[in-house]
Amino acid sequence: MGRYVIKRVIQAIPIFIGITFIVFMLSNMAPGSPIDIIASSAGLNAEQLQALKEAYGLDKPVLVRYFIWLMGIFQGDLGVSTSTNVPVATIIGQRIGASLTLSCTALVFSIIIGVFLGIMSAYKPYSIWDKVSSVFAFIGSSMPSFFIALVMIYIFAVKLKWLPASGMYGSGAKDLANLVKHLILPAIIVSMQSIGGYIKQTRGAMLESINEDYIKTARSKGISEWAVTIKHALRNALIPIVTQIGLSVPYIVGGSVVTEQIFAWPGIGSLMVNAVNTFDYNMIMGITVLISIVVLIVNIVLDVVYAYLDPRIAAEA
Amino acid sequence: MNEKVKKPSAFKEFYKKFIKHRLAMISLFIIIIEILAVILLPLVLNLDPYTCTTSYDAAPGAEHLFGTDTIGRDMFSRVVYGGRTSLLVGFAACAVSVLIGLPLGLIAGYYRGTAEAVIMRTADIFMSFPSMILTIVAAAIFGSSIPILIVLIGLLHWPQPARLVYGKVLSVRKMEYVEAAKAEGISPFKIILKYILPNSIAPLWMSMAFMVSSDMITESSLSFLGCGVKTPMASWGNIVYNAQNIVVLRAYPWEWIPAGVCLIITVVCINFVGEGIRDALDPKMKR
Repeated sequence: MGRYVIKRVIQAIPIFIGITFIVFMLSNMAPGSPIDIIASSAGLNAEQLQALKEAYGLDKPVLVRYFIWLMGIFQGDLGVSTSTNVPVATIIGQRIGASLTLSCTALVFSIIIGVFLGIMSAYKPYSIWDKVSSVFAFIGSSMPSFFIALVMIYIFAVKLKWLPASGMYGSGAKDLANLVKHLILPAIIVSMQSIGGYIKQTRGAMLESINEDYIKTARSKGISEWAVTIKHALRNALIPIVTQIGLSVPYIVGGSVVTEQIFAWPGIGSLMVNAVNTFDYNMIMGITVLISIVVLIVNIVLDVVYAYLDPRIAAEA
Repeated sequence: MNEKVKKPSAFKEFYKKFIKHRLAMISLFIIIIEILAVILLPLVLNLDPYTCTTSYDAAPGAEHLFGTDTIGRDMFSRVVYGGRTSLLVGFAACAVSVLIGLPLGLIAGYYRGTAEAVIMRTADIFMSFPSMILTIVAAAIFGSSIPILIVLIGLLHWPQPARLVYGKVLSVRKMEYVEAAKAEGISPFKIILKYILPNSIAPLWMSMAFMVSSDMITESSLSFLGCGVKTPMASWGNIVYNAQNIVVLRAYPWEWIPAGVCLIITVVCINFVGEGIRDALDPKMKR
């Protein structure tokens, strides 16, 4: 098991380097670098421009700059935000808590609802649960979340005045009750897209395992149908659910960007949109690196969970 | 030999099953009407989505069917032109990702080995990374004119068609007719084109509609964030952006709801057509 974990971590390194390389190269191709802006506004001549480039280390070949930047990442140095002059890592540090709160709530929420509906629709096929489940699956694939979010703000915040429309605490107290009130709408929007996937995976895996011999054995022993479903069938449905967590993480992170922007949630997603609109490339690169690290770690953890649930996987690898 | 006899009947069979799928047929009808409307309406009616009139935030009425926005532009014209943008980007971006993903999937599945490892691992990386983030970054760097958006969205969504085709090629390449073609000394290029491609493309047909609708959602989300199609150009996404202004959200629903509703109807209809195609091609998938 230990060897398997190490192997997976080593496999993730080239992927990390690949992603950071692509992001760095993209940002370097971008027009309107800070140097260009300074040079054109101050009317520098070629010599002064060269001096300025040397001062920022921009005279070095792009590959060398990439390695300097990469080394910086390992020391927690993501550069300075060009729009605010504050270190990127500091700003990200202030924002990451809000994003984690939203993403994790949405993830947990979609797993609970999705797995529950998946079990129910497998337990009672063609019942009302089945219909509810297919509605959820359909919403996930067909609804543009930004529009639904606005409609929900319109209904619940503007018309009914039940829930706040924006912010994490608003002007209210920084306590849990206030947080939960602000969290409900954005968390529903972010989880909306992934609930369908969990239902589909759970239902499929449950229906498959329900035809297995050990389920027939359990039934023949006179165990109640509900106990068979939960104890025997669900255990084997866990692997596809873990797969689905891996599949839904990119959607939850990507969906958070749109949702955070709409609800003025003070997290990484709205920071990203701001950075893009202010051409703050250090910030854009920093956030992208952070997200790729998170995605890679989640994937490694899930692979280890797989191996734990099904020891054959680690043995084969 | 067998191939040649089977082909036309396979299409007929698909057609027969598809027209029986009532929801898919209605949806297809709505989409066709919509496409005709966004192409023809600007030619027949005098639509002007760009000029600012002096009636600001006017409610829907005889002069402005969907009212006007905060700077006095006719909302009906903007919704029609926005439909042009959104439909064009959705279909074209899907075409781009198929053009990239299909050959890569064929190569990875047929040659296996290094090509397979490189292509499919790259696809894994693309799939595990939130493509929304990459699209925003890329759109910020390369600009966000409509052709660039089409290429970007298409480029970032290539792994899906590649994986679908790749999975099927793995089983098709072991078929006897492929072995026979190899034994005859036919070039790999011809084998892929003549034997592998026609027999591996079904999964792609089944998912194509869903790819179009997800590309449309991507485009409109980007435009909504201000990272995609920018005003004065209209897109359903950037029209809904009007509602980011709390006054518009509260008091002038005609400035954002029609565009959002059009987007939902379109996406839902495309997905129903997709389900119709899937059920017709593979009856086993039906629940």
